[in-house]
Amino acid sequence: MKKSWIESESKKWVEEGIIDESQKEAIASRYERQSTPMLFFFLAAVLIGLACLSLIAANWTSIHHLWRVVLIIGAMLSFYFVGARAFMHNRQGIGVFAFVVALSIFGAGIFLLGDMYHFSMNSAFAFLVWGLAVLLIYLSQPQVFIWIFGLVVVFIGQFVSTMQLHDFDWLLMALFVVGYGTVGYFIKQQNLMWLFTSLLSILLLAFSIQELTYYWYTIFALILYLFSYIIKTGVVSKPLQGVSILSMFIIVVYQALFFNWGWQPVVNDIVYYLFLIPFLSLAVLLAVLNRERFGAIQIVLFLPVFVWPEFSTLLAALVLFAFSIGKMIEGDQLEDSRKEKLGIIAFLISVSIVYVEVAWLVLDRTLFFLIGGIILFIVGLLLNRYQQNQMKGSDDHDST
Amino acid sequence: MIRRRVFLIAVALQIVVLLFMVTSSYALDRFGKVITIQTEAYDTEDVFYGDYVHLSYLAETVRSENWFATDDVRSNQQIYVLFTPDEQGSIILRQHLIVK
Repeated sequence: MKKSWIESESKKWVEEGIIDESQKEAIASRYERQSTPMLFFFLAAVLIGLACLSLIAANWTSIHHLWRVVLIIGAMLSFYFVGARAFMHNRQGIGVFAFVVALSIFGAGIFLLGDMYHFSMNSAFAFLVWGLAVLLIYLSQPQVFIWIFGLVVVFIGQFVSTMQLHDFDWLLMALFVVGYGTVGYFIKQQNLMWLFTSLLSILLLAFSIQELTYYWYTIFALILYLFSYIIKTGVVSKPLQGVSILSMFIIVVYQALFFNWGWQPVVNDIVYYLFLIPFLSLAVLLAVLNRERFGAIQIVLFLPVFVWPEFSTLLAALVLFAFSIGKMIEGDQLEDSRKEKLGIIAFLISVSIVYVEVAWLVLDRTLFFLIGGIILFIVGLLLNRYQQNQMKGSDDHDST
Repeated sequence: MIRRRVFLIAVALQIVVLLFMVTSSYALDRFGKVITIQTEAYDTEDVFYGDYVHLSYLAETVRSENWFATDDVRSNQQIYVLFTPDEQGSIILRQHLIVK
């Protein structure tokens, strides 16, 4: 929330006599000014790093090999020196900036030297060394932006290795999960955990697609979901559950849309079911034990809809409807408007998918878009009326 | 104090990594054995690029009589090869093995 907004709003509350001056100060003090300069320093570091990279790359061939090495190591050490001095004088922004530039030079140095001396770069080893260096620097100077930088380096390394080199690097994955994951856990910031879990789920999906078959991602998402019960801290469990549910929603949407196009897998893999059935049962059991009536409903997303090939598209659509209606009811019961909105969005997506699936094959194209537009208009009208009723209800509640 | 030490170790390790890449390459030049590999040119004329020479090593090509492994080779899988000199002293690929 914006601090300036709180200040201007609270001024009105004081004038209207809702709160007094001391209460206003107390409320305003709860909302710290966000450290925007830090973000600018971080982005500046990234841009200057890129500029240095392209400048040197343009004139690279005319410089002698050994001078190039001196240039890389010299530039890296200078930025480390500037960064260390800045941290000593308590100038965190400049310190982070200098360290991120130095780490960028180190990473670029590995690739440039590799190119100069004809190293074979068809593995993620360079990213492993780079990611380790960033983690060590983070441990010496625990600044969130350095952690984010390292996380992105390791993520890109793993993604490139898996998708382009067709080689999922387990050491890099260990660094991502054990190194960066553990540090992220101790930072205890929920938005950072959202970032970590989202990148992790993308890597797991890439692994499933390249090394196994895409549907194995269900097992990994289910493990993330179960971990949200084991690690009870809200900072970690919410992103774990959120990312696993959201990614599974996308997977089911994919299944509902593309199975009809001949992309449906034939799953005879007993091992897959040997993992899926116990994990699914455990998820239901945990939801029941934790008295989460709606927890059990969202688990429908993990169901293997391809188990019944003739009706798998229909099953996928039913799963989407069950999930979205479940979320809407959950939001209504718990008076949680965020969940309610999520349910409405999920419901809209489900309706659109079923409409596309059925109508695209049957209807003429013009009619298809026209009816689609009308359906969306009616849904929009209904949502609008629903929201107005909600607001009216809350006003009535306030007046009584 | 510990953080300062970790910082110094981290920076030192980065320098070691970069210097190792450089020295290992020069060490290879100094102590390695020089072999001659025959090149072959292909596609010397192109509508868009004009005349140019693209060189590849003859030893990179695996002839079917030298293929002793199964056909089941995945992309980016490690393959070990045996190079031997031919009559002219040029290195050619004699045999290759796949390690699973």
